[in-house]
Amino acid sequence: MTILLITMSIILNIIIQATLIPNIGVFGVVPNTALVLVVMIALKKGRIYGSASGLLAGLLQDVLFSITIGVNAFILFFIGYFVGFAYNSLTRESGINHFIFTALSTVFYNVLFSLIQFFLSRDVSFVDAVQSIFSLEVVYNGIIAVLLFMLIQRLFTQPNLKFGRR
Amino acid sequence: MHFLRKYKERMIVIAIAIILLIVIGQTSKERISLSGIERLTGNILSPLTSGVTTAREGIAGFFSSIGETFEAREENELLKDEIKRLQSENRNLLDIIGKTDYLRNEMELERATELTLLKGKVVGKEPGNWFSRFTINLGSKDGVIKGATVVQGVEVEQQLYQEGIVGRVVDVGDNWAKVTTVIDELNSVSFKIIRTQDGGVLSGGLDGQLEGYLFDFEADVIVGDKLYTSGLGGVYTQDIYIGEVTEIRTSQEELTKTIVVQPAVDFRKLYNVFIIVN
Repeated sequence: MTILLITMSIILNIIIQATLIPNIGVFGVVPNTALVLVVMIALKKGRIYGSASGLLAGLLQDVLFSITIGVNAFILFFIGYFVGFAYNSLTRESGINHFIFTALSTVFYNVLFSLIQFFLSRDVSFVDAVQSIFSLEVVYNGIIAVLLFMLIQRLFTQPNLKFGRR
Repeated sequence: MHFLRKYKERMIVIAIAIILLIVIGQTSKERISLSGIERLTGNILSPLTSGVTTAREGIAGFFSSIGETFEAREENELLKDEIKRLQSENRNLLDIIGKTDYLRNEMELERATELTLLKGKVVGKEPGNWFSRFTINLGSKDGVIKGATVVQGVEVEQQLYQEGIVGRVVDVGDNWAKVTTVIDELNSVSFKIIRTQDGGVLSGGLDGQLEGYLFDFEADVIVGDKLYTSGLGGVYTQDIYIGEVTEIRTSQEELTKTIVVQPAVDFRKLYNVFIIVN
């Protein structure tokens, strides 16, 4: 059930990301919702689920939109894996955690992406790379993560009913 | 085996990483066609994405139609601007229709020519009546050299299009060049009559016609003879059409035959010219 749910959400995400998300860019910066989703899964389900969903989401993105296969898969796989380590160590879930992890992951994503582009001898200047690493996307992704987190809390948290005193 | 079991997870992670790196390396180059898996994934997901896009456009259309009611006044202004724009476009199109003959000549020349031609635009004409010169928007950067012959497409006979002589480049800048025409008074062009191969020299006159004399006093020339450049002196490229003889004067004292030639090129309507670069 979990696997099915995660797969469905990843596929849904890729469709939304390809169609709706480009229209909500702020200053030309578009949030990377695949990354937000992978971080969230990793934080909620641990590194195995995290890395697997990262791999799936990245591969889908690569196959559909980019010429070089595997760049997104590689990066998202490791993001899912590393963020998944925090699964056990966090005492309680909160929006702040999600914000911090998503923001850090965004920076990590952009650093790795620039590096891979560099090693593939694409024409990426240092200034461009630094600009994309510390762009508005970091904050944007973080905010999206918090919103998504709040939404999911609202949807799936069982109401804490208490009857009388024990 | 204990080792393997202990580090199983890390091994898997590293293996996946290596596989992905190999895939990146393999696919980073230009590929001819999509692989089967890619094609399948794309085939399945593309209709979905296009469906969502259509839905999004529909929703956006609904909201924008509400907004449009309020924008009617603004739209009115926009439409007025649009009318102005279209009117000016209409004028431009009429301009093109007026240039039809001239543009057809140009096109036919480009199709028929054997020379290497550079197309240049006349950007300025020398003011005043003394000289017939103009500047073009090509220069040394485009490969124009000083002394190059400048031509234009002309219809020599029915359905026969050739280069008609305009002049030559006298000065070259980086992205501009000065051209002096053959009807300029200071310019002379050596010609030959295509029918008899008799030669002579033409020079410009003030009235836009060419006047010249034949080397051979006895030469056979009649009104209507067609003149081509002879290439003598190396100033102009050989075998370029000049024009037709309209008048012949014989003066016994000077022992020369003077001819008046109507150039094929209309020098009052020069818009585009070609520069011979070889």
